[in-house]
Amino acid sequence: MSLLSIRDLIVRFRTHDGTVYAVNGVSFDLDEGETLGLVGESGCGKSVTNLAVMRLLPSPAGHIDGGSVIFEGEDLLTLDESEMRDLRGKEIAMIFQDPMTSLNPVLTIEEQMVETIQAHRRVSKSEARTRTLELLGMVGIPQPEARLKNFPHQFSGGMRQRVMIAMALALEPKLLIADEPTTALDVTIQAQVLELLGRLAAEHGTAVILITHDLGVVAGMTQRINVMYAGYVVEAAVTGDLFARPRHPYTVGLLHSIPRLDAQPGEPLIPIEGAPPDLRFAPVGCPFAPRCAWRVDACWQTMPPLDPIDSGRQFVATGLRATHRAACWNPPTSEEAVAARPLRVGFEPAAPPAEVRA
Amino acid sequence: MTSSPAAIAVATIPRTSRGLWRDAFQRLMRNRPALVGVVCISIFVVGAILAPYISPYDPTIGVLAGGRQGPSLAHLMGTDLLGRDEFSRVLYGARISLTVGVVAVFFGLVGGTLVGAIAGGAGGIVDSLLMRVTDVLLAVPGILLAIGIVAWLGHGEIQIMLAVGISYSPIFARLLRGSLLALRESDYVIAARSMGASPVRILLRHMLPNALTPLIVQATLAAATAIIDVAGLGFLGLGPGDPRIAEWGEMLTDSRSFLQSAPYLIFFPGAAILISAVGFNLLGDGLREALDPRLKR
Amino acid sequence: MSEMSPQTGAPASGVPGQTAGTQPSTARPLLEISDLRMFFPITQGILISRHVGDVRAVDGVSLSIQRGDTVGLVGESGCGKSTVGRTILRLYRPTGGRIVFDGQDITTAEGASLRAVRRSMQMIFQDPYASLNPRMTAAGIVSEPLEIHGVGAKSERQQRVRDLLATVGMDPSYGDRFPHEFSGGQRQRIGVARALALHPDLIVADEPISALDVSIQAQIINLLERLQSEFGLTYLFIAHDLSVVRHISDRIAVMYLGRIVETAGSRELYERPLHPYSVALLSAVPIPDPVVEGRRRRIILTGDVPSPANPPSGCHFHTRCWLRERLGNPERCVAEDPVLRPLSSGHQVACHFAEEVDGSAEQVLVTGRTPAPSGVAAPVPPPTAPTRPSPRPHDRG
Repeated sequence: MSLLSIRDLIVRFRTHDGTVYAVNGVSFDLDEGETLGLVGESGCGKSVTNLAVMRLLPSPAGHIDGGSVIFEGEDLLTLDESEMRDLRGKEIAMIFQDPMTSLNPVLTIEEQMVETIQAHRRVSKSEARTRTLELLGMVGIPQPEARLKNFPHQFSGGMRQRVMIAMALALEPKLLIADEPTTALDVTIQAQVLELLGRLAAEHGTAVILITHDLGVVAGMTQRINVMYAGYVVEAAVTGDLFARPRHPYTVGLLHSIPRLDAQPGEPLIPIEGAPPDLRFAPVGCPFAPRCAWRVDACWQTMPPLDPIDSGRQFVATGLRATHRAACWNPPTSEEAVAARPLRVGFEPAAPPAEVRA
Repeated sequence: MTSSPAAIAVATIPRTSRGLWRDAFQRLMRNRPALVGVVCISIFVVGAILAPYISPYDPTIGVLAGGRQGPSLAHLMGTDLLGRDEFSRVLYGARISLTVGVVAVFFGLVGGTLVGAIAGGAGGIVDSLLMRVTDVLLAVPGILLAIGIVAWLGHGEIQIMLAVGISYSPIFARLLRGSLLALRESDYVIAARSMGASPVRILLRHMLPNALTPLIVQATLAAATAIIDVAGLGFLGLGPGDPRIAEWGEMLTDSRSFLQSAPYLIFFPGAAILISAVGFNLLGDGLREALDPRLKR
Repeated sequence: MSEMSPQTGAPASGVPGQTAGTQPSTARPLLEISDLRMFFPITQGILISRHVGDVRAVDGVSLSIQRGDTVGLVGESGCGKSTVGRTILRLYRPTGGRIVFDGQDITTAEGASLRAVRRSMQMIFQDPYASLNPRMTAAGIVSEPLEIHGVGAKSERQQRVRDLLATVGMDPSYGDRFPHEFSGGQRQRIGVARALALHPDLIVADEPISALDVSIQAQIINLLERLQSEFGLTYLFIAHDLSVVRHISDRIAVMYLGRIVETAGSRELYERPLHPYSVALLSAVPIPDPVVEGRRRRIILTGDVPSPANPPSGCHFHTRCWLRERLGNPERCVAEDPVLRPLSSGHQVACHFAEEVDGSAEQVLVTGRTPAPSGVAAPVPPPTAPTRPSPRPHDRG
């Protein structure tokens, strides 16, 4: 049984301007000790999915309108708030992008970490303190005793993120959700923090969901990747497969549009034309259709299911043999994926139906 | 959208352009409490304007024998000690309170904006000095400051407007200066500088229009307290000076010994003050939400 | 790739250390900054401010940009690259050094003469949400530079605005809309149109794509490249993303804590980085390719970036330098400021021991190549102490 199993999750936000269709049916699994990357741009729903898992959606605007989140056999969506509180921190922990706002600026590091530990374990203050020192050492904070009484603003960005990691791992959770943990950090600091994260997760056997928009980061850190777009998972594959044999036009487009440090000079970037859709409209058909060079008529009508690209094999949800799946009616062939455009003679992307939406 | 070999992106449907003000107006109209506030204010404004036409009696003439009568069909809000019709007095009182209150805020705005703009624009010693002066003014409680100024200048509507206005100008000055300082670092201001725009153009075209919204909100809220301050001055005997003129604060003073026997004499002017002040407050809160440029997306 | 003139103005020659050689002088650079310093005072005090120190944002930067080139200025937060850009545009008055634009010394220019120069250099900003006045229409924003400099009659300006919007890929009829009605990518295009309005020679692009979605970034990069060839623009491209900078730039200058530590052609920098910081920076940049990532070993820098208010003495990088550690902490790094010196044609490094980097294991690790013949030939030993291999939580294979 998987550690985490999300099925058909639907999340909507009710605002003055109408409903925002943030997550439109997301399903995936995660095994113990696995690192899964959730990749997508702003608005794709990757953060919202995980806030929903933690039941931390802003209320009353955010609302889970369907689906299930099974963690260790229990559907988290059926638990009440106090049961969730028990789980948070102890079984599932989350670290965020901006450590300055996720650490309380008026409490010392010691106070915050001791509070976290004592909230979930019956230990004395001095035991909690000892554990805190241990954790700070584990994440590489030099001279931890001296820094216990410091406030968050006295740490640099990278240090704060390390403290966040320490707090998250304090109770040895089974699952760690890292939401853009290094996006706000300089690249050399990012390297430090990612290395730490990877090492600790391996040492403690923690499963990690790594949310980011940076394909370079997931290339080095994850075993499997889910690519998200406009509230759907559009492609799911083992990391190596995703980069070597991308099957969804969005993934293909992304891989061709990001500059690589080791690219040949003069290699052109092939951007994806258009812009991400406005999530205030309920999705009809595939949300990527307006920007897709491979679209067919069906794409405007129905969202394709996330199906294996090779129908022959047996379906494996997790692990290094996970089945490569893509949600596409007309996936690119390998040659087309390399060329970044359809190569079939006479193929034209299907025109939109009479009624067009932005 | 760009035309290119891969351009298959479908064009967006053009939406009608909406100016920021129209957007704000629409948001305001959707805000119920703000609408309530607008209604309250409108009642008094309309009443004040139409007072000569709709008040049933002359507010300055009273029939002594009919004094201290409770509310009745003849006198909707009763009569005061001297037999004057309370309803007419409340209507005429609106004229004083609203005009004096609003004009006072206007004086405060003008003074505060000037000081704030100079301080924010000049910087350095000028800024420091002006801010210390405003600090001193702010240290004195508003009503005391107003009392002091009226005591110095004497009775009269203009004097009250000046007094209350001066007591508010430090707040506006600080607000504007703060906004200007923050805006000076915005990218679009820097962009204007990098184009070679003159400081005057930058101030007028880029900074002030964006700094005004907090001032507008603050001014509306200040109108609420100004009405109370004007009434307060009247209550303390520092009102317009002419005992015949109906002024809400003075009406309260006149009636304060009769809290038990003629409570309506306190209730109606008090309610008028309350409702008009709350009206401005609600409108101010609504404006703050409506004008807030959280239009990041 | 054009030659770069070192600080003295003499053309670089093939052999390091040789001064003004027999090569003919190159064309006058469009922009040349020499030993530029920009310090921001730190003050204390209530009524009278006392000057208690300086943030040394730019601490002796020299750079020259040839017409038509794209020079990338790269570094991490706090290194001063944005300040360099803004100082070049004379948004600040430099604390020291010289700025020479198209032959004219503009270091202390003010008033009308500065205004005239402003026509020729413009800026594109990072934040598409903050760089446009929310109360002006798109057309108003783009036409403002034309209004300020009195270019053309009103109808001519309107036409020019429409042309500019079309050039940057926007529908000209959107001109009467306000910034909040556009997406981030569209706003950035408006910013580009504004920068183009006066036909500038130089455009300083300060992190122009960092705030955009990944799928939009490539659109703007391609737009900038197209505009460069169409209008003969020269770019100073400031960014922290080394991959993007490498893609778009002809030459790259790497900055650390207020100083340039290395300048080289973009290909040369990647194939043969010679400054320990550049090597570490290159090793840290993630590459979207799991096979490559699996082979890489990162050079992890210890410690935090020092504060620009209190930079380390001598070489600013010495507190975190893996090479210094390897060499047994030589005193020279603390005592003496390294100067940018040419190690090969068009390649300058500010490090006392740059020769040790060439051919070192770290350099090979980062570039995956053996050193170029002009470098010091050295065997490739296995990774030693300063480099910490980053273990993967999973195995490949």
